[in-house]
Amino acid sequence: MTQAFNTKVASCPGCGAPITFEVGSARVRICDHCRSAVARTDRGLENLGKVADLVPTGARLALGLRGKLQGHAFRLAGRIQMEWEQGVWDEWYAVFDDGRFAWISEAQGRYTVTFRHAKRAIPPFEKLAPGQVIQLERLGRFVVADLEQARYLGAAGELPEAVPLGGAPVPSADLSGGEGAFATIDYSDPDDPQLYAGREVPFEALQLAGGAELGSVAQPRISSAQLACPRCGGLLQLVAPDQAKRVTCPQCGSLLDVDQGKLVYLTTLKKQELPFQLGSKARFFGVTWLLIGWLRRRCRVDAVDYDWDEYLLYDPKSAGFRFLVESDGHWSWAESIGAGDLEQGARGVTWKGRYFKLFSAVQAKVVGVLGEFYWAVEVGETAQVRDYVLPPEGLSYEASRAEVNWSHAVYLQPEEVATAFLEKRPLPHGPGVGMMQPNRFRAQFDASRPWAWVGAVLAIAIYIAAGVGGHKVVFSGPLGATPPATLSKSEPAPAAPSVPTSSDAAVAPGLPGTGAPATADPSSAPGAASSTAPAEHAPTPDQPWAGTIGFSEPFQIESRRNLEIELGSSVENGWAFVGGELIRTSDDVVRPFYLETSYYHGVDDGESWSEGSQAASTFMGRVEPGEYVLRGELGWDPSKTRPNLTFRLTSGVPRFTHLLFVLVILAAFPLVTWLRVSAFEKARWEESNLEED
Amino acid sequence: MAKLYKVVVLAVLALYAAVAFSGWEMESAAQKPQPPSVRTSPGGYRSFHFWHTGFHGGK
Repeated sequence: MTQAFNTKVASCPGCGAPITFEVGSARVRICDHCRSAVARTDRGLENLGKVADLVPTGARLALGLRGKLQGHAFRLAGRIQMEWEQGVWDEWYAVFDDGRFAWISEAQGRYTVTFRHAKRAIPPFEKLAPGQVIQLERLGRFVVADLEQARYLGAAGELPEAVPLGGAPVPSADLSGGEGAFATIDYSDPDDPQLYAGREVPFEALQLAGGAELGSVAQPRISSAQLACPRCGGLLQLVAPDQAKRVTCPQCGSLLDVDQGKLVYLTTLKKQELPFQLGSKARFFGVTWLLIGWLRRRCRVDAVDYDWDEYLLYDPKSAGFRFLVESDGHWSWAESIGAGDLEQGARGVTWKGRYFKLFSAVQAKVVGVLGEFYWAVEVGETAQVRDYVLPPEGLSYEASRAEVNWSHAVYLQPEEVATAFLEKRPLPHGPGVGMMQPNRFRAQFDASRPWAWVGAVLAIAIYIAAGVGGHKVVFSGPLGATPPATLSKSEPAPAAPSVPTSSDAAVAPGLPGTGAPATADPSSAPGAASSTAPAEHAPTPDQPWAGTIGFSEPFQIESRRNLEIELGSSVENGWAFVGGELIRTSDDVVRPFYLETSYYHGVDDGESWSEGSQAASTFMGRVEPGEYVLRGELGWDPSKTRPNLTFRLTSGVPRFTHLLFVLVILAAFPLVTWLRVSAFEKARWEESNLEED
Repeated sequence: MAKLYKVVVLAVLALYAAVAFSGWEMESAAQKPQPPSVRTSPGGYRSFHFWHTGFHGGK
């Protein structure tokens, strides 16, 4: 026997039947025979009166079950049923072997374990509002999830203290903290509110095993009930009778209140055609769900009504609920989450470290209802709804007068929904872009972006490696008038200038352009840098360019790379051009090129200006190794003196334009994809009723 | 599509490496043998560009 349990047997003052106090700290025992609440006091046993029978709630827990929570063994010694306007839930009195006790609440398949905490600075009930953030000293930050008026409905087993069973509703506040933290404040005594704090736990975390008295773990009931509609007399079936608060009659469309197994007519609703039949099974995320309810909600934005449908699904095994939401052909799967897990920002909320951006804020109204609901749904009820998105996920906030609810949703493709319902007909895709619809181009963009970066880095590396490996100046300087010996045996001598000057060293002296033919001496010897040129190279009116030919000294190109030919000139407010060839001396293969420069500058109205350049360059590709000579023919502005020209030939020059071209190609796909991503997002946010940042 | 892009990236890089290391250039005038007899023909040999650029000075 542990310190918590110390069995004492007595007789019920109500019926005389034996009653057993097993929990040392328990003060009240509900007689199993006459349902009397028996309190033990220092004066003996006191009959507090009879309590109501428990109503079926589909609870998975049961009196007497033993469990273990974080290594601490406990036993479920008592049970209280609480009722509020939206339904009934169970509170289980869990007594640990070390003497502590906790309350385990069970509602809609969710479980929270709370321990009573010492008195703290607790705000009065009237000062609380749904969504309000309060600080419970070292327990941390909590959000007021709902404010309720609940009454004690019934009880069984042992209880730590007398409770006002069957009395007036007492106020309480449920608080949601981060990471599943939960607290509730019991305002039964407004002057002495009691704080219970703990956290939500999965059913499995309770590690329940069979109790000595009641046998094995209670199995969830997959039960249903058939009831007659009080309006039309037709039969209707409750899929989750233990939790149902509202149901509609499939025959007459009446909305009925479910009150402990009895149906009460509320109103008649318009019949609706649904894409899925109520009662259908659907398999989502590995769980088979029953479709038990449907409701249509509506909001009005700029005098236009927007509707969306919410399907309520029920898992009989866990007694849990989920929502399937359809808005204009876009589907999502929603599950409620704790308000305390969210950090509110000005334009969004953070949940689990991720930021969801505010998408819409509307007032939603229920305009259609079918099926069965675990809360007292009514047509016409309204709530403030805000949607936040981080596609393909979203968060939804709903606030009513007494509570706030947050849910997390994930987008579903219509095909996924159809498959889940084993629906052979395809569900249509919605027009436009859904609020949470994943941006199908985003994945492409995200997948291509690293490859674009890797490609760019490698392309730059290739550019650098190509330059480092083969960059070499093979010739630099002016051209001379005399063909080198390797060419002189076959190359005609260039024309000589009529008036050589010191500046003529750059190129073989020649005639200054089209309008000033130089004097040539046809008798001059070929190959000589003489003042005359062969007759066929002397300038004539129809061949004014003759006699302007220059040659480089032979030079070697060692590797098969490109060749950059750069021309530098001394043109001033004039122009010059060179038509030339690269001549391979071994086989007289020539590769032509052409370069031109023009450079003008001056001062107009006190402002200096310039255009053109004194330099020009061109490239030749894949120049084979060997000995070469550069041959050039010059022309220039006849009104000017002949300009100085110098050449520089460089082998193996990395081409920046090629690199740029490659980078553009590599960037094209990510760029186009990014544009499509942007267009997709633009279409999404056009559906928002909020101004974008 | 993203897989195709990876293939394109690799192909472009391979092509670029080949271009960069071989010295390939986009040229309109190909190299050709030009015997000395042609260059010494009466009237004087002129390069292709000499006759076909149409350039006769700026301004």
